[in-house]
Amino acid sequence: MGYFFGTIYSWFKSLWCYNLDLYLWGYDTLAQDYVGMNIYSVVGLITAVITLAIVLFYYYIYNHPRWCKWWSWLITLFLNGGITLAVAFGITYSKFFYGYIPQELVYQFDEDGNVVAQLISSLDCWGFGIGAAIVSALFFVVFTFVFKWWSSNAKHVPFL
Amino acid sequence: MKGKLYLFGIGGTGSRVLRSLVMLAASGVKIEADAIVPIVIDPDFANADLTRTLELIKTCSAIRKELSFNDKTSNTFFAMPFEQMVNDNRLSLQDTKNKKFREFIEYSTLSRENMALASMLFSENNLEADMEVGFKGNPNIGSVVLNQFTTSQDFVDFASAFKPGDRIFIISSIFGGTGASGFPLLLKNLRGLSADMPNYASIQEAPIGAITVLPYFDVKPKDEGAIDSSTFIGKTKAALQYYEKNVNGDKSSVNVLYYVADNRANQYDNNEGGTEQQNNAHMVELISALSIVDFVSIPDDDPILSCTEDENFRVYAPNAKFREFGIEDDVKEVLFSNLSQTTRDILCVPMTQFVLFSKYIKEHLRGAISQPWAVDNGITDAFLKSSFANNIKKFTEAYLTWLEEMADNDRGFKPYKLAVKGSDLYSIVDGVKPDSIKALWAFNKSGYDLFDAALNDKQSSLSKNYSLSQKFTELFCIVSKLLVDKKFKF
Repeated sequence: MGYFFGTIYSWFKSLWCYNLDLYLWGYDTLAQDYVGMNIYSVVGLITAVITLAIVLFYYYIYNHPRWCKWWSWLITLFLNGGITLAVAFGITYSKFFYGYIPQELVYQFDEDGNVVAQLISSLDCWGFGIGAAIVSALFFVVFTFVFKWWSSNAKHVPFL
Repeated sequence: MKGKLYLFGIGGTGSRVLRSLVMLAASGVKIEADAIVPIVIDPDFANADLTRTLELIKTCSAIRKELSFNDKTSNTFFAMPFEQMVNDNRLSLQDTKNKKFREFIEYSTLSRENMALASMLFSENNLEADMEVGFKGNPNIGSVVLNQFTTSQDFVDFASAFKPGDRIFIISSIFGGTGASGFPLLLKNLRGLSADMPNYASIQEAPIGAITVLPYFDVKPKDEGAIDSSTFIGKTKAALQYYEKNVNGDKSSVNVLYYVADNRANQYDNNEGGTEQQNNAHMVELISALSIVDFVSIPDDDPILSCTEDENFRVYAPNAKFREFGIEDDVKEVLFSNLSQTTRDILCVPMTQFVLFSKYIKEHLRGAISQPWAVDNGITDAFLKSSFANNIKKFTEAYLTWLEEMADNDRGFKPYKLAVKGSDLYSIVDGVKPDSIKALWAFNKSGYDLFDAALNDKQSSLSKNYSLSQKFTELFCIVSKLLVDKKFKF
């Protein structure tokens, strides 16, 4: 599952830096191997669950004959993207802020151990958040076409 | 009952009661007959009450022609067939067009003695009366002119079509001219039908019901008007005395005779007939239509419906019944809660279903064709322009107009707040608080959204083999029943 989600997120890895990508894959600097927690699978799973819940809510609980139109579907897609962006940013930024990301990945040190460059910043966390939002949009589309057919009022949304 | 009901509507009241019956039947009020065959007897061919009713029957029949009814269908809208046996549902009366009564009886050719007798029986105004606009409250004219039923080809056609098991019902008013004179004449002709008529024995012994509508409205005084409502009570008393001796005495000719009246009387414009005679619908007409519903619900083997012959071979009903109608409270504006539970059981559900259906058609249908229930079943703009959809629109508008007229009358029948819109839609039944529906499909929806949600939810139950028209009415009937059952406790 980690590989599955990691591969999908990697389609957008230009939005965040290589070192954050390593960390998200679970790279451990001490072990020099991918033995840590795969953050991609965590975020991916949360994103999938949130998106599934929103799609099911939209098609089966909200399920409104007047408001279930293509534009409300699009608004829901963006809303879902916003939530997953916040979740993905929150997870990575908290790891970054509280120092869970190995220093060797966050900073570049000289031979004396002085920091010469910061390799991961909050901008990378935002970038990952945006990537997660895009992936959630893909999930949203997939879940839409899996579940919409049995909705009584929204079966033709976003189109027939 | 198993068989057809031959329904004779005499005069203006006959047409107006028939109008109410068509409305009830179309809305799905249970009428236990295989078919209704309306036959209107009215010399006033241009009477607006009559033409409006006949147009309504035509529309209803055109709609029904597109629908089928069997054990698998759930639709009760337009379920009762109205058959046309005589041309345009009117019994043709000879020699009444463009003729004065004087010419009809060929007064000028009478002998001197007969001329004197005619002058005693008929006033100068009577003799000068134009037959084409009815008998304008003169039963003495009607009893002469209408005594020609059995010579009419339409009547022979009726006799030919009549089968054992069929029943006859006669609607008339007692305070006018056409109905007051036509009812006893028709009854006499039916019970004493000549042996050279087809099926004469079946007709003579047929179960016959009738309603005699007593005064329930006045007309405004008019100097030169032939109709004077101050004579209504006097005429009614005279007619009742005549009926007691000749219609419903010891050997009653009718099996069931219904009486209805109202002491609250609205004043109508004093029109003698023709296109100007279009009175607003009245609750008394609705109640009169209910008498027909009651009559056909009497089981075939009930002794009330039996007939026998006396020693003079005169057919009569030995167990005749006489029925009246009452409301629970004497109020100016009648709600469902003012009716007895028996009447509520008959009216509330089907009428409320049809009101919701009519309002949806009028206020929401055009904007709803993008809904799944419409898209999936091929309900498109083209369907909305079809003759079927146009007839549905025409009929449902007429239904709402009928309700508005009854609400505006005095006494008013006003069970619905017809002006309600949007999310207030289900507060339409005056005096009945709508329940909330506890179902997932109804979550967070009200008004027409709830209606659409129910249509979308229930459309999957429709058979794919149905025609568009069948799907449309079937779905609306199922859903309106569901909404009424869930929303209202009558």
